[in-house]
Amino acid sequence: MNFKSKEKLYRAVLPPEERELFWENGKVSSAAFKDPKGLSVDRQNNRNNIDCIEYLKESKRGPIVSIQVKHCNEVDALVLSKPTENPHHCEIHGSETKKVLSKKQAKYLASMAKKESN
Amino acid sequence: MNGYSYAPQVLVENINISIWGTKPIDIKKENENKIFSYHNNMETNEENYNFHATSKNQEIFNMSLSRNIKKLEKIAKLEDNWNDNGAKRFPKEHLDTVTEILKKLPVQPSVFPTALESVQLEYEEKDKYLEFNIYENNQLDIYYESSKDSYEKSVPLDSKIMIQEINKFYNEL
Repeated sequence: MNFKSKEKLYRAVLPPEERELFWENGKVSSAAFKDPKGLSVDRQNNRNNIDCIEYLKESKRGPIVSIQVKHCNEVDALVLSKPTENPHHCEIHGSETKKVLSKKQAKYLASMAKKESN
Repeated sequence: MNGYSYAPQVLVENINISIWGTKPIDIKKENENKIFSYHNNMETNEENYNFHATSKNQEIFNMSLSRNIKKLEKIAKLEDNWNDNGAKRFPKEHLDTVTEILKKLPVQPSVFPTALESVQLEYEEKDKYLEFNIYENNQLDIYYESSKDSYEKSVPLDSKIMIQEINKFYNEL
């Protein structure tokens, strides 16, 4: 499935009970971008920003951040469409053989992340 | 008011203050009575200034350490599947190890949990970044990046190695 370079990818930073757990000085830590199963995100998929955030909030209660597909491309992270009951669900993998992002990749994506909602 | 110190970015009563290296810094006026005054001591009595600087640096360090210990207490409360994708809770022994490590570090980091079953410690200044990941099996991952270079390595957990990396990080600022 084709991703546009500027297409946004949305991620809820959990757990919602500790909303500041991954934040320091207004920036999200790369720790929030590390997952051995691949980083779950929702792709924008021709929806407007508010609709994307509201859709994600229906199933995830934590703060929501976004990055763009181009940010993944810049560090050779793979964006894979992985629809479930959620047709927008994707995963970001470190490479074709490694689901987890490298430290460099995680740090870069965290630095590019924009907080969309609390 | 200007002052000199050597300490990480600390959170003092919800007011952020950055103090680093030996460069003069401006402390926000509303923080003056909460922190300390170097000014008069610095000009008139260097010995006295150094004493005050040391004791106040220790005070700031203790506040940062206390904040990090409270952060670890929050991490300790995370239950299995805390990230909604199977992340495991953190065993007490693991967090106790991290606590003991934190007490030995010359500068307090920012502390975060990861879904990789590690506790991540971060230092960031200008264009430099230093990251430690401490795993339950006492493996230590070190990652450094700057505008000029980067490296990463995986070693057995050793606070001395961490201290060397931290000192090198701040000495090169």
